[in-house]
Amino acid sequence: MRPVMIVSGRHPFEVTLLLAAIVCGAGLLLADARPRSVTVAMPTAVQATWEVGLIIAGVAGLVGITWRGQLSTGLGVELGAIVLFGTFSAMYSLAVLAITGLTGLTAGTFVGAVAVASYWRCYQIVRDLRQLAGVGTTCTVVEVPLLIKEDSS
Amino acid sequence: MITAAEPPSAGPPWIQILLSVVGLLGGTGGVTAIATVALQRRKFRADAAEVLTDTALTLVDPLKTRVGELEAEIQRARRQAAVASREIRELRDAVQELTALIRRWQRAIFAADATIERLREYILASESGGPGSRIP
Repeated sequence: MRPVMIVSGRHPFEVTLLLAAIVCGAGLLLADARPRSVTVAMPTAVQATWEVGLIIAGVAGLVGITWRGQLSTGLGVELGAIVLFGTFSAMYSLAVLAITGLTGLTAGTFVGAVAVASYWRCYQIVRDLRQLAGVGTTCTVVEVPLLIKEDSS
Repeated sequence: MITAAEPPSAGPPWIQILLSVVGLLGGTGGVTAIATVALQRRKFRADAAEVLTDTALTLVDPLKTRVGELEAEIQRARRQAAVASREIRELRDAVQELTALIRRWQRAIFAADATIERLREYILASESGGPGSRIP
């Protein structure tokens, strides 16, 4: 038997990027000033979805990582938000690279890296949720509550 | 030719289709993930307070140290217990031997033909061969 360890989403990179998504989405929506690569590469409906989606992903992600109730619910909300966030980042990265070519290499690469990191985090959350589903016994050791997983070997 | 300075109002159809598909798949995936976890909440029994996050692992390290100390203490106690039980065994053997000697002397003393000379010879013989020499 061994304790279950969950990787927390409360890391500076994740929190900052989710906040940035809210700021970016709200700024785009209020100022109605979309990047040229977005207006050229996406249909109008997708552009609107992309803007609103950034805000939804940011808010849902922050709600998920600060969730106080059942852990799996928080992780599930965070998972959905990070899938959305990774997708919207990938869309922008593809748009920048496709429309501006090598000129947009820096922006495209960095935003693409955010998308890759998001999917990496999704993998972590899915792995943690699977661990939580396999939890067997709850034990307490010197005031530190531990969940113990049955050893498969 | 498309340039960064003066892009056309609409890009090539393939990128528009690609981004629409990516957006659709990602959006569906995100909503599905939230819905799946929300619907299977009963499958997960852990509250946030019951699970170790990586930051909470700092609490476990002192416990590991303490467990190591206790294991070393158990080893010491086991060694001491082994020494003590060996001593007890040796003492028990000595007591049995001396009890047997006293019984032999008692029989010799209460024998019908017992004399002081014969008893002295008997004790001298037993002193040379056993722990009876310790008895005054």
